[in-house]
Amino acid sequence: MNLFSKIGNFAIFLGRSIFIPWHIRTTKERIYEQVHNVGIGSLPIIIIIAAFVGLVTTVQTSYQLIGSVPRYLLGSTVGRMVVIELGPVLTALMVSGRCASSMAAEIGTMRVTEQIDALEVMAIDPYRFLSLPRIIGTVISMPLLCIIAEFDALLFGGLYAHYFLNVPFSVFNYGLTHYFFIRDLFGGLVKTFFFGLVISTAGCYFGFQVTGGAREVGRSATYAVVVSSILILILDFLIALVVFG
Amino acid sequence: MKNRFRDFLVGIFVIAGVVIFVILYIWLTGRISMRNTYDVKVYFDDVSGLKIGDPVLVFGLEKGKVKSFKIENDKVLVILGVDRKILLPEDSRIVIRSVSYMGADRYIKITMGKSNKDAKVFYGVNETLDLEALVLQFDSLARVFKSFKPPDLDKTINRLFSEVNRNIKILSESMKTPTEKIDNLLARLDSVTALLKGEGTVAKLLKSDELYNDIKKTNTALQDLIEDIKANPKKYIQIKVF
Repeated sequence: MNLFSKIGNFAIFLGRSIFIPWHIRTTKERIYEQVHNVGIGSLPIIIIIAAFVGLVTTVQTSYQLIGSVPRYLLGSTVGRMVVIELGPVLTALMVSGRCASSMAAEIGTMRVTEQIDALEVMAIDPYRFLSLPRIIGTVISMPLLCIIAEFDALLFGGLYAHYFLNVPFSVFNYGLTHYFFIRDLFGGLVKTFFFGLVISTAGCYFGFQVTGGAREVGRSATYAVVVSSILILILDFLIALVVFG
Repeated sequence: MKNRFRDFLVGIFVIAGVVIFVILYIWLTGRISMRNTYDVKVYFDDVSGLKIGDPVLVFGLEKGKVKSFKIENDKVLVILGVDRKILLPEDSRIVIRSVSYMGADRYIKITMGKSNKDAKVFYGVNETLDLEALVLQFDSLARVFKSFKPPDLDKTINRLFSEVNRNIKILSESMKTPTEKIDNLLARLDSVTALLKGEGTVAKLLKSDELYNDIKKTNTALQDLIEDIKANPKKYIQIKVF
């Protein structure tokens, strides 16, 4: 019962945050701020993580494949794995860990210190002022981060294969390009839009839900990360079913 | 000032993301290797299985890729991106082949001609092994075998046997009369043999040594007589005219 009401509240919150009249001129500054926070703030960690994702994928795939199949299949396997699944999902999980918690903590603190009430008193819609820029900023940042992560992972994977696995870059590249469908790249990017939506909505929702003090703020940050991570994986399955199923 | 720097960073981030997206798109769709190529038009009747990005092999080396397809006047126009250094003589042969018999992967094989003139438009042939067509042919063959009725064969064999039987009967019929004659002959021979073996005059004549000696003696006496006559004819023959 409680779970269903929470799902309902979450959906209503998402609707109230998105379907709200807003003007680009007044909101763009805050959207820039969020793109800066979410996108540029997450860039270093995403680059490091994607590089290691590429390396690990190449090492593991070569361990399983080399010797039994042609070497160029290393490139196609690593490429499709990174582009379809690992790039979008790991980027989303990292962004959720970094940003959903910070959003929940920030908005939760504003709630606890009654700044949101003050906004309402000033006739400023807190959903438009706080949620909407965060949601739009995250939805813009996520595909860009994902593209950078995929490029990074493939580059590192290819270089590792070239220098350490005796699979020349041209062979890796042949496998990568020969078995590549444009649907893979766009399917992965479509996921990231939804992941961005889920991450920012979970962060804002749990921030708005805070009642009490500092302890509740911490708990809401935890919830935001947990719920957004779960939702990312559920959505990943659903979108994979629609796009690749 | 701080806001302007932040906006600048955001702008750089968005532009970098878009640029990397374009680079990734070009990289993954294999267009980077298409830079130093020129377009070759090839018309095929059927290109089933061929995909954009499939390799073009010249002397077995990958020297290009399939770029696009278009239907033109009941034929499929395939545009190949071929390495600029490879010029194709106008009598070059372009075919579609399968990478393996079971797989769906295809490649385009170019066999260079000997003409001095180069061309950019060709007519190609699809030489892939169409497994489905092969199976269908086997299927129709199996159907022919199925429709073949064994009773017909039985009838033919029966007819053949009855014919052979009839012929043998006729042969045995025609053999009956000579056999009787031979029997009669044998019976007569038997009676003659019996006659020779028995106690009759002929048998005695055949067996008697006495008769033989007598005949021999008579013969010798006759020879002596003839010789004597030859020697002294006057002793025996006297011719008197008067």
